[in-house]
Amino acid sequence: MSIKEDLIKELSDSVVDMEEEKTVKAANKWVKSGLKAYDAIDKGLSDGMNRAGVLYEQEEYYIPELLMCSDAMYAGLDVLKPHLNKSEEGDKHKVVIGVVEGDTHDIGKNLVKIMMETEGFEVIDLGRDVPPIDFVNKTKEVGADIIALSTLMTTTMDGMDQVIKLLKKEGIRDRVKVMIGGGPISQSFADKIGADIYTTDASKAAKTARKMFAKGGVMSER
Amino acid sequence: MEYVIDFKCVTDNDEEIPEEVVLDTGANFPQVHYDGESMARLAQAIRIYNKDTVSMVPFCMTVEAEALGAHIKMGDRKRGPRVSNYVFKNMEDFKKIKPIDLSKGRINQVLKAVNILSSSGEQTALAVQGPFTVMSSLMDPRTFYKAIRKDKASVDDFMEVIIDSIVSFAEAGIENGAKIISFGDSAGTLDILGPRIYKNYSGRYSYEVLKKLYPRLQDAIVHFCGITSSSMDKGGFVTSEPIEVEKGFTYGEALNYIMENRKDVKIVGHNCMRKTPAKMKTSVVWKINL
Repeated sequence: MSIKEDLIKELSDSVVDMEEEKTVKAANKWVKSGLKAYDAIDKGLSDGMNRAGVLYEQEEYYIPELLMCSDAMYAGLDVLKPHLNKSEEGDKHKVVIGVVEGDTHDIGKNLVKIMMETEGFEVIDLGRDVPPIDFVNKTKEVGADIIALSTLMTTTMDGMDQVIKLLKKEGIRDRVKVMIGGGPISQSFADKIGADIYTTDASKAAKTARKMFAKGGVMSER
Repeated sequence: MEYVIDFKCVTDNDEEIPEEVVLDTGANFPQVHYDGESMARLAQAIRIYNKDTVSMVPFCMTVEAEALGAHIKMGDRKRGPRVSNYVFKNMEDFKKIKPIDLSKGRINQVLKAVNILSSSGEQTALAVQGPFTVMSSLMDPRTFYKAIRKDKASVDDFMEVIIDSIVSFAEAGIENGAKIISFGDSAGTLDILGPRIYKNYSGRYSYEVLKKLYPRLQDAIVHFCGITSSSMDKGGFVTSEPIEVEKGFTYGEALNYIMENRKDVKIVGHNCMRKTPAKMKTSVVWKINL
């Protein structure tokens, strides 16, 4: 194998093995070798994250492992991103994601974020316990294509409805797709509040979003 | 007859405190979360409204974590107490944890509420959160997952403080008259963590809580949240056996029956404390054996 192939394998493996430090080391080696950063992300980090996703679907990996893999991937991305050419960064579709106000359960949101990123979206994470207006403001600010809302509690579901109402009030409802999910959420709730997409799990959410925006960014060109 | 453990966590509208009760009692939010007397009054009113057998406090899952240093936003009527930001950011911070002080703050008010309720003849339950749930309010679980890869011993020392704190909280609840310790660890279940981390960490921690609490129960019982108990059962930490009770009982009545007639049963599970006012579909109480 060439040095390039070795390093690609090292990047992919260290993501799957949840080895943050090794990932950073391999990414630094890559940069020093003067190779194209794009390839390291696309064939190395992204490949590792996809393999982790497969292991998750096979129930070899669970949420903790997936989170650790994604941390390794992010650490590698931090090293490589500054070396991307502007054109390679592409015009990724943007997702504003968060857990609605009143709720701090963010496992599901984090999974959707990771999978969306793996599918080539740029994800702006507003975190947990996010007031409705913050989603709307951030969407306007970054020109997001999707707002993804999550909650595990019945008491906070209304926050999703409020986001949609605020989007209408601001006259930008048609510009953005609203995706919702979480324990108590259902298709009928999505219909009731007029959300565009409801899916039952993180992987389906990311795939549905990808289908809707067929043209992806850097990490989706596989 | 054979019974199967088929517990499913139902998140319908049970998390909401009925509007009528709030209006009738003039309950003030977030006062009911930090003032023992208001907490007791509201718990009793909810019990009467639901035609329930048990009054349960507190109304949130953040009390233990707050007493261990977590930053909690108290919230309002619509949105209850919740973690604002994580206090423990890395493994160095783990050393900062100190055993719980039950003599002050919100946790003390919860114990006061237990005392008020039990003194006025209410069948009182104290809701106690498990180690993984408490840890999840103190730090981003990612910090925990990273730490166990680096230094398992330090993590165990840290969790030991949490475990002992939970046990002393439950024990203080019993001393103040609680007859049911409603124990659950919803953030640390088998389906979230997977078998490896569950068995080596969350399951083991919950087991330690129960093991330490068991000899201190006096005439109280532990009600083990269904998702937690079925995780423990599948994970091989506990076994369970069905006990048939009279048909037509509500779950609360069935628990009373068990407490009166089956002194050998100290831990029950595979069901939900929110179901105490409801008539049982299958008239079975699950005994949990450590």
